[in-house]
Amino acid sequence: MTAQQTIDIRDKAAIVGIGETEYLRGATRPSAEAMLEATRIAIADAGLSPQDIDGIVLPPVLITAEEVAANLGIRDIRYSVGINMGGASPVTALQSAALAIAAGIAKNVVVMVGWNGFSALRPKPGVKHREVISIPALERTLTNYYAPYGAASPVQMYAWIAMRHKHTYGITEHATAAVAMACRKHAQFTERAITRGQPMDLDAYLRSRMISEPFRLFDCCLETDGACAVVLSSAAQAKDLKRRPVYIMAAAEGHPYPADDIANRPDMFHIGLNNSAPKAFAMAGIKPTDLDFLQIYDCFTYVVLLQLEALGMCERGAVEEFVKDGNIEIGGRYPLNTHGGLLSQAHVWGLNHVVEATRQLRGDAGEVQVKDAELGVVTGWGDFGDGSLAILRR
Amino acid sequence: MTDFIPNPAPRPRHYLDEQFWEHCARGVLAFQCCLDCETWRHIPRFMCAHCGSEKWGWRESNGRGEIYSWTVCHMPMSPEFETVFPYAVLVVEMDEGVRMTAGLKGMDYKDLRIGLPMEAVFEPLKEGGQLPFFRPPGR
Repeated sequence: MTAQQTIDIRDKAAIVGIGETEYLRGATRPSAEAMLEATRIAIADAGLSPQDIDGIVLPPVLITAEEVAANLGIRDIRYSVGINMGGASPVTALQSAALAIAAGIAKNVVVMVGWNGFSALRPKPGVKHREVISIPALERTLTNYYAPYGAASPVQMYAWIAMRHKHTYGITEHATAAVAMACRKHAQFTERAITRGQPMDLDAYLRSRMISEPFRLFDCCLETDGACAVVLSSAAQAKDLKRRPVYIMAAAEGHPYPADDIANRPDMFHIGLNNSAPKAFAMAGIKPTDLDFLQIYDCFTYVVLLQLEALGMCERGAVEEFVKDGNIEIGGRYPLNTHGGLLSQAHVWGLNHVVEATRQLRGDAGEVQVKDAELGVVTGWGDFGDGSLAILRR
Repeated sequence: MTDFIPNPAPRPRHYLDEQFWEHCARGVLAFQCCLDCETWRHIPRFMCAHCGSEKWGWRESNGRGEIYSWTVCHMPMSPEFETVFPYAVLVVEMDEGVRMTAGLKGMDYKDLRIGLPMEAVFEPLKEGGQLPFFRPPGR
């Protein structure tokens, strides 16, 4: 059932500017500074000036809308919100930005993400200032019911969903390998990818050490430093800006139930995306099979498999068939994470997936350009399985 | 198999968490149960999500359940666990219908499978109090 939309956001907003910093391991500056660099690049890419920005949507990063405005010289912020959905926040932020634009509250909204996920998240020798990300929705569950047993990291908690799914549907390591290898293959053609020049074959994948079963090292995303930003404007204004607009056809957020405890879900495989995907496809008026590419949040390979099923790319339990034989590689029917994703490009909370989707729909994706790409999806996954998506068109 | 050292201690947010752990400290595994619709629940909540009632009580579990899912950690994610890996963290579905996360005792993690019967056993915490673990019945 689709909720009644009192404000129609379909095709009302477009991504008009994108910006990325260098992605690296070993940043020496605070993430706030990197986010401002990415933002300046995105605003310039749009052909706008910082003073044109009147909306700021932020995931739980270590910069505030107030700081952004003070640095950029924005005198009149008309719209600012924070999104608390972990890694799903950047895609949810697109929904919020499109809504503000559709409602006429703001004209040009910037969404930014950045962190020192390699250099300052965990204690490391030589780290002067740790940068810790807050996860208020999960804190109580973690500190009371998970952490006392040594479950302190997403890799362990998502493993509960993955392990049961794997055993219920007989999914093999070849399915997760297909995701890891597609991302790594695409990263070889991507300028900013951390793993460029480090191709990976099936043997290397299978030899990688176990982290938290069923996740091996090469099922896990990279830890990197860097920032991304995108600028959204009204569809009416977007036509007259510097770059070919990429329209937000639809966007939706979804939460599993209960969102703050993985163990007690009536259906453990019903993730946030199961709730949001049907709404977004209905809003866009398209089917999953209409998509030309998939940019899927890939903190872990198995999380991609779960999302492909939730998106409706295949039936539940049939995902191994979907990802095999190069179907998700460039040249296949549904190229996935054509920039290498969090697994092989860099971990920028999936806003790098939004940047890549924009490049694809502008026709600027270079060697990994999907031929005649017209329609694409970007998903976000965060906290204990929150799931957002945006359906984009050129 | 490495012997598990329970740590860090739970950090209750409010009295619902405190009461859950106080039962555990006395060796009692108890969950909330709605006094109106008799629906058991965990993790502790202020209201019954099934019927909306604010009336509830603690009821003792029979301590039995089965494996719903699990992971085995081969790399410690927190400093307290650096000496004890690999270790399993289970999701156990209790006879009462609620599920809880817990550690494993008394069997090799390589033999874990969905549906395996389990019973609760308490282990003392370094800081005082007790933490429920699960083992095969009678082990």
